[in-house]
Amino acid sequence: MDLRRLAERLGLGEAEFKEVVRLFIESSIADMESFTSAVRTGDPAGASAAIHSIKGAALCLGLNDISRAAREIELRSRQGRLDGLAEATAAIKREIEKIAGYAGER
Amino acid sequence: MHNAIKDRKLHETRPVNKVLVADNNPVMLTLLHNILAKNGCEVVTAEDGLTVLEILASYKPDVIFIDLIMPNIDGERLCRIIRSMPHMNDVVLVIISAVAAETKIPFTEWGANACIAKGPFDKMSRSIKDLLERIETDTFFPAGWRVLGPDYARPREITEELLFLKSHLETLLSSISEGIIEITPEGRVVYVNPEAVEITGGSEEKILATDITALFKEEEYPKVRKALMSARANYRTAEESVLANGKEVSFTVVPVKNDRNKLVILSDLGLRKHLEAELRQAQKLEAIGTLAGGIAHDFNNLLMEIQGRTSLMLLKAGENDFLKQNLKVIEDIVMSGANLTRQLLEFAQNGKYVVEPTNLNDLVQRSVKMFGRTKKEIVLDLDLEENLWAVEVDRGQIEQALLNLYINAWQAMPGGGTIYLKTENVRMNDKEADIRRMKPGRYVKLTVRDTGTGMDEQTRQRIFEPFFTTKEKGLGTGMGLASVYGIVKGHNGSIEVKSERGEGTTFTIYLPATGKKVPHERKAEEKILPGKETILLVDDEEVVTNVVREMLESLGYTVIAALNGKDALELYRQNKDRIDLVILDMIMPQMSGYEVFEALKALNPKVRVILATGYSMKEQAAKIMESGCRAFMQKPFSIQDLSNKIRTVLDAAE
Repeated sequence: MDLRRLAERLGLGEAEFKEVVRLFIESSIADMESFTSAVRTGDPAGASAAIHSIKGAALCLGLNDISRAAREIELRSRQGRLDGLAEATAAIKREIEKIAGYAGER
Repeated sequence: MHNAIKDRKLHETRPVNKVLVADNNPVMLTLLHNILAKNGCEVVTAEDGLTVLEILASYKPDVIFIDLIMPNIDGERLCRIIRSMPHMNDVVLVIISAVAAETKIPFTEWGANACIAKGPFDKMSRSIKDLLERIETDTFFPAGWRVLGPDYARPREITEELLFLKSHLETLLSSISEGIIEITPEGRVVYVNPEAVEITGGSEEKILATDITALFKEEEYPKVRKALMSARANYRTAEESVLANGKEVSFTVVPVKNDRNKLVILSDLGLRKHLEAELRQAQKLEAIGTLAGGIAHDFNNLLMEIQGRTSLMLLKAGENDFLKQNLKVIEDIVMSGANLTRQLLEFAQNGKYVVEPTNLNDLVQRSVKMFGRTKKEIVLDLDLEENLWAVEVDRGQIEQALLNLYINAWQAMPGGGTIYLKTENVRMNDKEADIRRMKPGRYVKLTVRDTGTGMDEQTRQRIFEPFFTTKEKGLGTGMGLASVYGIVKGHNGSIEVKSERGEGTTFTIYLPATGKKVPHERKAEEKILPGKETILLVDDEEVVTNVVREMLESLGYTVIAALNGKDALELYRQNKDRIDLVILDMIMPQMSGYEVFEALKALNPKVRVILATGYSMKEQAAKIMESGCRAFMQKPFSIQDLSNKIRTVLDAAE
């Protein structure tokens, strides 16, 4: 993942991009915690709200792998289904870890 | 709505200096902040709707960017609230939403001026710059209210589903009869459903963002605060009774799952108590009605015999004035007794036979004329709706009910006074209909208000009970209002009474409207009319059969009598060609009047039948009338009634 090229494409300076990526990682980790808790307590509305937030931010930052996986989860949880989400959830976590690595956050 | 902005002159420059941005996502908030700051704006940010309102208390921006889906007052409601603030009238409101890229959203209806679709930041920032330029040069306004940036639209399944879900949940929350308020941990209102708005008074815009305690009476604050404090995870607080907007309201707090917010559930206790009391009263009156209806049956048969014998004696009394005078008195007494049983039957809701589409105004005017002739000290003030909907009623019964109400009003105004009568067309909504246990729809409303002494609550509660009277012994039977109640209920209507000592009394009646046309009225004959035809008389009560036979024979008819349905059918079979008319009792053992009527029709589809009964079974009677029965007579009847009814049926064209 070339964060510099991504920043250029979005018209953001490096420092600014780093700042929003840091915010994205922080808020996404918090949202993933809310999402996991909602899945554990069987709360589809809570799960979709948490994942919706990640999806919007990822879309804005051009993080298409995350926004795609989040969209899949959101669609399913809006239908009241909290099963079969493991793969997409793992993909999001993986991508967040990856971005954190590139951005030097982890 | 935002006219100040719409009406501004074109090409007037408008620098955008101060901007407020509201979005719950920190990434979006930072990006929006940065792009606006780069454009030279002073930017203030907020993470939810409630914080925006707090900021606006002391800060006036030129433009506010508002995320559509936000916690603690969403974008739509926030726009409406801001637009209801007079000093924010010229602020530009811009919705920023991912939803807007995928489907149309009515942001102008909420008071917003423009909408930017969320998407990849490079494209979104171009839309923001474009918008700021349009605002500053004022070219934005005449360009119309459009969404900027829809070219990067995304597939729409999720958003549409999300919107559907949101609107479905809104519909559910609007439909329930409890008031629901969502509050933040600090007690600020972030959601309120329509029922909660109605219970607490005011408007959604005014209630949102206020402190929950402010919706209740000041002395209730400690109780409300205590309930709010005691609500915790998986624990719903016990129902508290508090005063809000002059009403007694139940108050429960429920924590929101996986959230720090809480729900306050409100219920109008006054309304609930009223409904329970109404139900108890209706059940009590129904039980009394069943009892009263049964007594009336036996009593009526006795009266029928006395009436019949008296009529026959009157025919033979010749010039003997003493006999005639006394027999007339007996007739009057019988009629008083019959009147009482009729009222009992009306109360039992069993007296409605011939319903016709009717203009209630005609009945009001006729009854007023009749009443006004005898009670000169009473002023009757009429306010009648010109194009009143028709109602399907038994005219005689409704007229009787009206007279009973006037008499009640007159008795409450010993020194004279005014009776105000008002008719109007009304549409009863679901809630109003629920309260009255009726169907929603079109009704004709009649209000009868007097300026009399009024009554206390204890009397008001018992006013429709039969034989309940506040008058001295001998001055009233206590059946007048009971029969009004039965008549109205028997017509699937509703009657309510409001009264206070010294304040007069108001009766309000609702009768279901009908789309049927009102037919012209017919005039009743008054003479005794003889005849020569043959009549089959069917009645299981021997005394009644005997007296009616003699009445018919004295009129010149030939009578064949039967004491049960089986015999009646056999006699009809044998004498089919010479029987011109059947007078049929409705309630008989073994075969009912209806069964006999159907069997007679099978033998002769053109058979002419008059239904006669003392015990009113409205459903059966209505069924027979609908099946083609020619007329109906209520016992006890006079020879005059009998002769007229027979001639009406026999002389009518086939």
